[in-house]
Amino acid sequence: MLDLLDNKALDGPASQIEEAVARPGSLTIVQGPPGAGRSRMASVLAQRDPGRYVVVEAPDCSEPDAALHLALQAAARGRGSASQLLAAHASTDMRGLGAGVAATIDQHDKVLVLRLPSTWSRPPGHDERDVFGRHATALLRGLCDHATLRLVVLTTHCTEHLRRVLRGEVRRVVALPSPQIRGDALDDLSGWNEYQDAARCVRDLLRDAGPRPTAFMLGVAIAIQALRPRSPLRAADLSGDLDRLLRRLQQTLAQSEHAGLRDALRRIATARFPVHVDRAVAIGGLPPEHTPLVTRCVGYETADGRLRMTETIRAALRLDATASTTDEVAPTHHALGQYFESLDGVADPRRATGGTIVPWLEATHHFAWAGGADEEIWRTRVQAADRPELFWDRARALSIVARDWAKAAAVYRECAERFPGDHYSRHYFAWNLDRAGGDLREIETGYRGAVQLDPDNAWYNSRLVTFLIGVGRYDAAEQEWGHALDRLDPERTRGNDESLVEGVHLWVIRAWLDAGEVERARQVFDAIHEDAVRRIERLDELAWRLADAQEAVVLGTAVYPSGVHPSARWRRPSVVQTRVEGADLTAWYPLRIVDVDDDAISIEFATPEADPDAREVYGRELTRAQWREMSGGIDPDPQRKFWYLARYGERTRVFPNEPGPAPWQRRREALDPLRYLREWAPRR
Amino acid sequence: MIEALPIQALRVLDRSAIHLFVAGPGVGEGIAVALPDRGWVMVDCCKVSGTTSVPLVDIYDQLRSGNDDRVELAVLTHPHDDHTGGFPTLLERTNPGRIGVVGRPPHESLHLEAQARHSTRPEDAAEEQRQGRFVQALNAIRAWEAGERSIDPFVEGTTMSLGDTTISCCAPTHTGVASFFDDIDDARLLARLRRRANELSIVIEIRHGSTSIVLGGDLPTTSSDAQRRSIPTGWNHVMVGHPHLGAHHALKIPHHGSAHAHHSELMKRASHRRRWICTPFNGMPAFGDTGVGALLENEAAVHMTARPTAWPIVLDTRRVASYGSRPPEARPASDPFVAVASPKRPRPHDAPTAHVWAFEFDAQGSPGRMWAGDGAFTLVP
Repeated sequence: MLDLLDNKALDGPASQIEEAVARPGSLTIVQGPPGAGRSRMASVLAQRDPGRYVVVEAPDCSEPDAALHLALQAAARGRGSASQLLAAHASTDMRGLGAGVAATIDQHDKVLVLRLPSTWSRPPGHDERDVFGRHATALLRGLCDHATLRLVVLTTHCTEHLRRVLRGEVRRVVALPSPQIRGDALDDLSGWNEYQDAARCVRDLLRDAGPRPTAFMLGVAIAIQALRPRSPLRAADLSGDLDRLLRRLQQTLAQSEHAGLRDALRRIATARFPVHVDRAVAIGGLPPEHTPLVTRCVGYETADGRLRMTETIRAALRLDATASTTDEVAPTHHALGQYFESLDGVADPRRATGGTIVPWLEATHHFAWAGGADEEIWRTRVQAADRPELFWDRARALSIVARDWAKAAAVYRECAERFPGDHYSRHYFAWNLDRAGGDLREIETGYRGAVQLDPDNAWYNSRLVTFLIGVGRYDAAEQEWGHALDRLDPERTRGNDESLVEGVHLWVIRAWLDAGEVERARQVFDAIHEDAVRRIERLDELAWRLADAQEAVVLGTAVYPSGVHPSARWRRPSVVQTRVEGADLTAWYPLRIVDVDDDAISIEFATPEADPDAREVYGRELTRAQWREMSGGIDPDPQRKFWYLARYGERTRVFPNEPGPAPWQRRREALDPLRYLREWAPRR
Repeated sequence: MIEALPIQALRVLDRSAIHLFVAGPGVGEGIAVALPDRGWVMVDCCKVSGTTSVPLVDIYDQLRSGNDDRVELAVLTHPHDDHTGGFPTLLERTNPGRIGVVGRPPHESLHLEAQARHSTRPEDAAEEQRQGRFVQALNAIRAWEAGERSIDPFVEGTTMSLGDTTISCCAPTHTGVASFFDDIDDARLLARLRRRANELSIVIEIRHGSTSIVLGGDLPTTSSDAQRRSIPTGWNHVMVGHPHLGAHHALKIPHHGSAHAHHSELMKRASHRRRWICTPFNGMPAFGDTGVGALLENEAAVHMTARPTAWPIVLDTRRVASYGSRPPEARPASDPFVAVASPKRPRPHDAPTAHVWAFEFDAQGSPGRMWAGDGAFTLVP
């Protein structure tokens, strides 16, 4: 793919960077869209002044080891060593680690070049991974704490968040131009091998295309063409954006005949860092004739023969870790672990050098995700490193992929014992033990410990409250809810704050509803500011569920299934005809079948007055014959509970009320509601 | 007839007597027994609909005589949601010394019950709440056990002595429980648990001196599939082994007054004074269709904790209603389909103790004073 590009376009920006880093304390941002040449820029700089630039590349910052990765790479490559760094900062926070790295690099008069994935530019979110984002932020701040460090940041876009984090005055912003392909990019098709025909087709389309596509778009288009999509590729597709083409590629790969290729690409995309092409093809199980698919279409071969994918393309091809199983991912991680292990040459990261630190970190990461077989290898490696992030990585694999909550809890427990200030491990020890239906006192201790260490963490506060609700300790839950608000919103002014409402209120309300405690759910809901209720989309569903639940409490039964939105209730539905067999509709009622036995069916129905207080609920029994007459011959079925009963003078008809499940009923239950009772399960 | 005092007047218990409290707010029931001197026994639990109020907890909080006047035992007669409402709050606030549950062993039975409930995903909010509250009651028991305690199996023959008071379990029998659970595949067992858990309901006799209080749970007269397979359960079996239960001084009428739970020996006429208490449902059928009228043939009064929505009774100033002189039904219903149906909507929220009866007995079984909440009343022939 590199041969498609005009590499001379980087010369100007490289000179600007060189000029900018001449001054101590300089901060230079280099930004450009995917494929603009950030990686090539790093190489260009290294070639221009060998030894001056310490180039490090971070994993996605949603990965537990992202910040540590960056720090250790910088330390090992900056003529310090990972050993010194780990020894000096074993117990300090990530900011301290960053400051240590910066001092080492600056001491040797080097320039630190950070190649950051786009996730590093976003503010930490509200989910469980925000702790990794916070670590990334802390590391960057630590680097900036060293006033004389020369820093170059390569990123897709320097967001306000990233500017704030870097704090220092940004001396220069260098914009990389949109990556243009050469005019003669596809004149020579010899390198495309089996993909030559597809490349030729795309070359023909290019003549009619509007703006010239980027090299990555061209590669993805050729991939789509080579895989014979259901609908043919058109010139207009080349004028759109990469995301649209990637969706086309995903759809094409989803065709049943490409299942093998799709899986191979997923396996190859599992690697976070470049892998030698032959090894990547072998690990992926990619048929050799499809090698151009990875070396020219969705990735490219680097100068040293490795396969690199952009983060955007990799994300599009990778299997969603949360939706996969250990059996699916473990063999790939094992193979990648062995591959990187063969490159690192050291079992102990303290002895890793600039050339071996990435392989060491990657081998450790992949062994962490490789299931039970590589546990001992992983364990040996992390003993030497002694950093919590490496434990988190392993525990997340056990939790997210293997769903082995008990084992994940054991790893978090070990980590929390080793690092007493590690609130993340305490919290997720409790969270995983909770899912495992483990010792309730230990779970509570874990949740409380995390809150104590990080009292402002909305997530931790919310989980403690929902746990107490889940085990039926309502007084304790309400007390802790009060404490949580005291910690997170002492002035009670954040009822309109999306992060607080989505991170805390929403979960607490759901927990109360799951427990059947509707009144308590209402109390928490009412604490949310009405603007937030209008604004936050996820609250719509919750408001629906709450209204549904309250209606059932007031009526003492439910005459509508939850799937009927509250706004569609108590008004004549279209299914109820206004005239039947010459008679006008005189009354209608929503109805439920309570019970059906051999002789009779028991029903409940309600009068549909507009005023909720005026609605009356009635119960009566009907014979099967009566029901059949009303339903036009349908037998009463306890599985078909909800109907509308309509009166047409003396005639009665029933019509089904089957809207399908409500949104919350459509979701797979995230938690086994009987998990705390597992110990009671019969052993027979 | 002794007139009931308002429950608000009950500020302090005379602990030389034994006191029985029966709460039945229109859905479910809960019973508290304050033993002479000190100690309480709780049997099942209920909540006031639309609130977080748990009547038994309010009673206990108001009337306990000090920190050492604790709940010695909480019993779950059978794990139906109308007997488990508020159970988490009961356990959390009173921290009972022991919990008694039926089963063989009880943990397994409860787990099976929970599985039976969760074998289908609820389609509507009412069922979702029933499922949720039921599992929460069991989770609360697990939380209680986390204090390194374990629930006690309650089957016929289980007895506990609390001071001078003896708590005896009269049903179900070992054989009854075994017949219910054994020799059946899992799917059919879960279906049986869903429909017939009442047949495993615990029956308790609390005896102090010669005073006998019988708490009948929801036990029916006989097993519902007696014709197909004989499961030795129901009052027909209980009264063979424990005929003396017919000589009680107080009876919590089984299964909310349902005719399916009447037994002629248990509910026979007696020459001594006694108290019968019924915890009816809001949705109980119209007046004449229930078994409550039949009860009045053998007992001068039945103390009802609540008025079913469909009952057109008129209370006198003593909060007494006459069954025989009920007014004609006069419900406005323009639709004939509705006119023959029974109203069921729960009444608006009441005070926590509105649907509570309280009774005092001496050691010889003589009933003394009694107290009633605003929503409770006495039904006479």
